[in-house]
Amino acid sequence: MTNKINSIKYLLLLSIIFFTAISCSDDEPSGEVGETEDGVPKYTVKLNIQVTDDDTSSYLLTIDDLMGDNISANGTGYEVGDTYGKFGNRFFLSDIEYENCEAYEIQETELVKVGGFLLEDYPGYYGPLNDEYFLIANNSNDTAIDNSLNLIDIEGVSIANSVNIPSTIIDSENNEYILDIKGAFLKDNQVYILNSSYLEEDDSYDEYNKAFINIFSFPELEFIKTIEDDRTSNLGQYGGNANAFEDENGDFYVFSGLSNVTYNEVLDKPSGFLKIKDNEDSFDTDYFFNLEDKGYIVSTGIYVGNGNAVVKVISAATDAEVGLDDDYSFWNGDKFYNIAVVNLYDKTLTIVNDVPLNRMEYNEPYIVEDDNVYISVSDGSGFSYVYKVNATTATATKGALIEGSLGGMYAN
Amino acid sequence: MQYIKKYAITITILLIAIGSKAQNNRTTLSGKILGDLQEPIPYVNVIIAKLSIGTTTDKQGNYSLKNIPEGEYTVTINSLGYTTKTKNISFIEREITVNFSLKKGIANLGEVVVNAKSKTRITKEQPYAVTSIDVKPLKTLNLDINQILNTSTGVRIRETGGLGSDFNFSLNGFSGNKVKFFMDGIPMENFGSSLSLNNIPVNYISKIDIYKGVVPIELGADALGGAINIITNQSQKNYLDVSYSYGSFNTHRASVISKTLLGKSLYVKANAFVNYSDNNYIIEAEYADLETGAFSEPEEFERFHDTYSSQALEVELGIQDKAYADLVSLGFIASKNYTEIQTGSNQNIAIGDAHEKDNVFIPTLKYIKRDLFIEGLTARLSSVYNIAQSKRIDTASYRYTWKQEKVLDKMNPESGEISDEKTLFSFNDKSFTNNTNLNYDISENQNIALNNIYNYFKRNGEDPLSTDMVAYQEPSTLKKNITGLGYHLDLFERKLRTNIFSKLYRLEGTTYEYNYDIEELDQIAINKKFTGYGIATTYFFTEGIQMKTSFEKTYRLPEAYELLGNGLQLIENFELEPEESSNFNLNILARKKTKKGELLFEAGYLYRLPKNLIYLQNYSSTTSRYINLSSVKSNIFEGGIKYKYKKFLNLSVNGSYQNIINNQEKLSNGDVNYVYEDRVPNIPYLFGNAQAQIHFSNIFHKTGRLSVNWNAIFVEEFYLRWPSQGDPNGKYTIPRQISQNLTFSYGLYNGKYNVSLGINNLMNNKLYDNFKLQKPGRAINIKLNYSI
Repeated sequence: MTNKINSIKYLLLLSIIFFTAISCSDDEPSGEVGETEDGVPKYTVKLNIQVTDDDTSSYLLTIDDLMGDNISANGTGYEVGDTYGKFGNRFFLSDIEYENCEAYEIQETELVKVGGFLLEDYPGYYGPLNDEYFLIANNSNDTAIDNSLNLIDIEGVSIANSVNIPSTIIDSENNEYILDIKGAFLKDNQVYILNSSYLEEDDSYDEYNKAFINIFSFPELEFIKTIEDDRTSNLGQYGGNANAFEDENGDFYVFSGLSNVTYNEVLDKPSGFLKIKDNEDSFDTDYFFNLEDKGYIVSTGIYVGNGNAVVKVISAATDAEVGLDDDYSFWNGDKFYNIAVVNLYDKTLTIVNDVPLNRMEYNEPYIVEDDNVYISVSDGSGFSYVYKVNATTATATKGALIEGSLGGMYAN
Repeated sequence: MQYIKKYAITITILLIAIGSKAQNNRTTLSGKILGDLQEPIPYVNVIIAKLSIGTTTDKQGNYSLKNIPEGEYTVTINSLGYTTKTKNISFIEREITVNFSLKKGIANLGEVVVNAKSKTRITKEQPYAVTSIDVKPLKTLNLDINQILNTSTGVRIRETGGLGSDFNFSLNGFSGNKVKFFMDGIPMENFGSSLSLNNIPVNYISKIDIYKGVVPIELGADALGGAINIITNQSQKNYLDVSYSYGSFNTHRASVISKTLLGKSLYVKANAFVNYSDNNYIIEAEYADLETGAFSEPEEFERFHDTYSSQALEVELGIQDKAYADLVSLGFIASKNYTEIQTGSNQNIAIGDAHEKDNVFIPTLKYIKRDLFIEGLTARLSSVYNIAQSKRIDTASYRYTWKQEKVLDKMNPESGEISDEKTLFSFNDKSFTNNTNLNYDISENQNIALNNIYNYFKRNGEDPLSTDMVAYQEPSTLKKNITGLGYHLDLFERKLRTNIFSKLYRLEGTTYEYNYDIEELDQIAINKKFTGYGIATTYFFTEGIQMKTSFEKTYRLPEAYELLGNGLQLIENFELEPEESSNFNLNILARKKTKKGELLFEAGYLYRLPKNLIYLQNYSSTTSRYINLSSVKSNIFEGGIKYKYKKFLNLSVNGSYQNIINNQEKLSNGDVNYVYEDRVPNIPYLFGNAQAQIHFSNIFHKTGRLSVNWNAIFVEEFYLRWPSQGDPNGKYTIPRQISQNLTFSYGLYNGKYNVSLGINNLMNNKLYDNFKLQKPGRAINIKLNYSI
């Protein structure tokens, strides 16, 4: 009898322990990122970690120093699906589904969600316009289906304007091209849309032989006109978030950088920069900076000042040697790329020898600080590092080890 | 070739052993087994252990055991829920009749009970880590098989929604097809979604065996971490079971399960069941404005496009107890499903038109012959042919909101709702599965078994709306052939029982992949061979304390859909390698009886070292595909305690902790893997459940019996992504889940008439098995059951 009572007691006790253990409520995630004692850390980065051969996890974390200790998400950082970028003061992120866009801002030291919106379709391009709006574009890659432009209200965290635009264009020689939106910028209160384009009749990506820009009114997004130039080929690049440089005079420089490595069959049109002057809405016929004359093809970059830009380039010889091989898709590819400083006024190119050959990343991140640019470099050692590149001296210093790779880098 | 040679030698030895056996005078033992109230007890095991023979009682409690050689033997009578009885009997006469009465007792936790199908299986199965669930007492409850399995140690079932929703079954951390399912020994993998664990009613089955790690070769499949065998009612007599239930979310479920004898040995089995639910339960979601896309704060919405209905009919015509066959039967299963799609991979997008339809037709053939040509040789054959059609209807170009508003897709008014283009894609599957088993008792303490399972699968896709290439336009085929050979030996008066076995796996297939360079289809051939092996042994220290241990090296061949995809959101991956695993189990079982109660204790340690594990990976925002994750390592601890006091009270609690960690030190491109030795995410790692049953007799009527069943399921919060990365407070999580269910059931005339009232999710908690996919809130149902 005593045994029996003991057994029952024992079971009751076990049950109590079990249910006490399971009834404790859990706390809501507070979303704290970074650790600082005095206010907001200087930078926010989006760290991508290749967790398996085919899967990546991303974290948004704040850090004080890009040149110091390891940049790691171990136990720190806010889990994100992907980032659209930092527009105005806000970070626009997706959760596990790309169409779900959420906005966060740093309030004191915490990342706080301020809203979200649902996109109709998977975004093809996203990028900044001004402090109030950014742009998300969708490409149909189908002559029968329109492309679309969505103006996103940064403060309201919602779609302010959404228009369908034709997915094809007829050029001055009456050829029909399918348009693929690859970049955008706001100039003189008009939206300039950079397209890569290919001949409809071929239905292939082989025929890149012109630079096109479609110009729309802002914020109505009504089509105004198309400008074209055949000195170089397609403008903008998939996954290249910096596709146009605006200098201190309000002039814009756009560039074309088709290469074998990006799986674009390179025609006889060289990689180079075109210019659109302030208060003008056509290409400057007097300006072309032929980069291939210098032996290089540009992929992405950032404008620093005084005509200087820090760019990522591949040597034309290397590109020709690699050839058109789909194993070398551009951001997963081998380490083919150099960092260089170009001067858009003098039309000069200087390779930054302090940075080793590195590979291309999707949405290559840059931070400009005075005369310096912070970049992320995956150098083939199995590790990635921050490098601080000086645009005047074309020298660089190796900074923090990145435990993963950087998909975004923003100054707070 | 080497293996064929090995098998040939073994078969020769087996034939010599057969030849040396002689025939003797034989006795037939028969009788009836009754309970406390003189009620007949069906499915009781009657075993003569020394001879490795046994049988089970029919629905009327009758049994008959033939061909007993002259001598004195101990007859053991046992059944789940009753105390075991033994009796020494001298077998001299030709026919002996002995009746037994059994007292109610506690089920033997973790101990194998012979099922009615295989009368000599007991000696072979015991070394395996196996748990049997007696489903008979649960028939009055409104449950499906998933809900029953979910209360078993180490089992976790993750559902995406209500009745008929997709689910993921896991046993000791192995999920999906790493665990194999059988119905009466027939693999269920090609049965189609219309005959699945989430829609088969509890009344259809009598017992569920859960094998952890090592799977007996007679189940013959390429399981990586265990198998579940669902055993239907095997009684040789007439029976009829009719049930109907109605509950929340307009859920109706009905079933008729019957067997009718037409003359002495001819019988017909007819089973039918229907399930229907609107699944219109309330969830918390964010409403996205149709114009601006802006999300609202989370609000409560009713699911509006989640109807599920399924119907199945099974007819079997058979002959039993003939000279040429102990059982031979021909039958078919026909079933259909209709499933509306309400959400994508999370609840941000409401889907309002797309749905799926499935039709399955399965002819079956079974044959069992004991003492085939020679005494002790049993042959079993089952052949199943599946014809299945699965269709997805996605033709609406609308976008829906949770407020049930709809608007034409702006960018492409001709699109499908989920797919970019409208689709009526269907795939037609044809498959054939044959399982042949030969089992020979060499002597009292030795047995040898040879098993082969052959599966042929062909998939053909079509879409009348598509102008482009359609997946499986050229049919893809897949053949699997698995042969197993096992040997069982008992030593030290059967205190030590051991099984050794080897399995040969073979996978062959062809499919087609579109080659963009030459704009033609490339044929892809798959041809792979593997050998697995293992040992399972058990030792009884005392009558109440038993230790089991087993080791195996096993493979799981990719399923057709993993290799071939589904032509839509699931992308094919022909380079998928079979999963392999080294599994080690150690279990200790202890039982302590008191005068009126019984305490059972079970503890297990499981080690798994799998390689090339197949995982579902998001390929793009709308598509996914199966990939091999190179390597993980699992240490699993589990335990359970059961207590029974008289006929009044049953209590049980069990729990599992599974530490499954990433074992891949470097990525294949040579980069550092920052999540090496991190716990694999999106898998529950700590969970358990508790159950209590109280029974009251003589309520309202002398045969009236009222039972109150309570159970609680607990799952600790777990991360969607790798645990070490990110601030614990800023990570995607699947929250801690505590779910309680309560059922009152009242039966009359020994369970002939039953009514039960069930409440699921008693506390109306917000429950999630998967990230951002809410399960139903509190649901109430009533079930009526008539059974003879």
